[in-house]
Amino acid sequence: MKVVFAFLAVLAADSGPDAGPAPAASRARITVRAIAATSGAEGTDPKLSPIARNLAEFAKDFRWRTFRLLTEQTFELAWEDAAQVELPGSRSVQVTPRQLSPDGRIKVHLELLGEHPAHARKLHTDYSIERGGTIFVGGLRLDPAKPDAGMLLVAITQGAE
Amino acid sequence: MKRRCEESVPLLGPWIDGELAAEDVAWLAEHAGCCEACSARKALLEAQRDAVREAVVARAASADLSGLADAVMARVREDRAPAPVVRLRVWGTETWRAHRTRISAAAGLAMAASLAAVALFSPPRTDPPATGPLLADARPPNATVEVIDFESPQGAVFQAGQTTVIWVDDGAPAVLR
Repeated sequence: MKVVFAFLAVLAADSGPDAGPAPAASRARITVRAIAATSGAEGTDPKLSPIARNLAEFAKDFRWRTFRLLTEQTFELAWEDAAQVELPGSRSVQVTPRQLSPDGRIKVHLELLGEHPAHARKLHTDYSIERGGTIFVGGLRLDPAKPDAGMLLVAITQGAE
Repeated sequence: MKRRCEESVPLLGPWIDGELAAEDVAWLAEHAGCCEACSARKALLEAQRDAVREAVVARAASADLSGLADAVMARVREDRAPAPVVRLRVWGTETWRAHRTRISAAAGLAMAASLAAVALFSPPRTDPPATGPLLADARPPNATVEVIDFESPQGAVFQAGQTTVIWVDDGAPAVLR
């Protein structure tokens, strides 16, 4: 299935605040967090405080309310350099910062790879995000063999230097 | 088995049950009258039918049904409707699985409509800045998904407040709260 949100991009850009010329940045800082999301009592791992607001927004709409950090990796990447992070269940996510737009937003390419040995690509996407912004990839089972073990939430936070 | 026997055997049961036309009954009776094997098969089927009937009638006669109505009513009272949250969860899961493509498209359209409403109805930027929750509501999402391709599974893009969520359908139901 292919969904193109170019229209949304135009609208979002038009309705946003005026952005001045963005200062040049030679590198992107990408932080990838793998989070175990479970239902039950509300609770967020203190290590997830940098994205607590995003998790709170997520918990308002979805049924998972307990969030525990599993792994966290930060990369300082040149534009078009890719970083790959191994996720629980022998899956992985690959993030490539494409460029810094004139409006200061960061364009990113993301690929999600499934379990080994097939390691098939489950999705690929291009998105733009404001500096310091976080996007979630969710829906994967935390443990592919245990459907009730919870959900794997991947948080990707983008910055530029 | 003779050819006529082969044709007769499948008709013996319906004959005993009275389901055959008179013409077929006459044809079978003529054959059974001169064929010892088919006559014996018919007798065996009739004996089985009678035995089953007697057994059923005997068990029904000995069954105590006096408490049946009370037991049914008691069970009905015990089986209460599931909690609303459970019903909502089941509904959400089933709806998602049955209509995930449409939901994805509808979510995209809804986002487009919401953003269009913001673009159309937000005050001109030269106005003094407003205060209060309406300003926060009008803020665009912090990420904009431009192109997305779900390959093996299905998926959708949700907006939770300002946070964009790319959802891969991996069997974990995307039940909204």
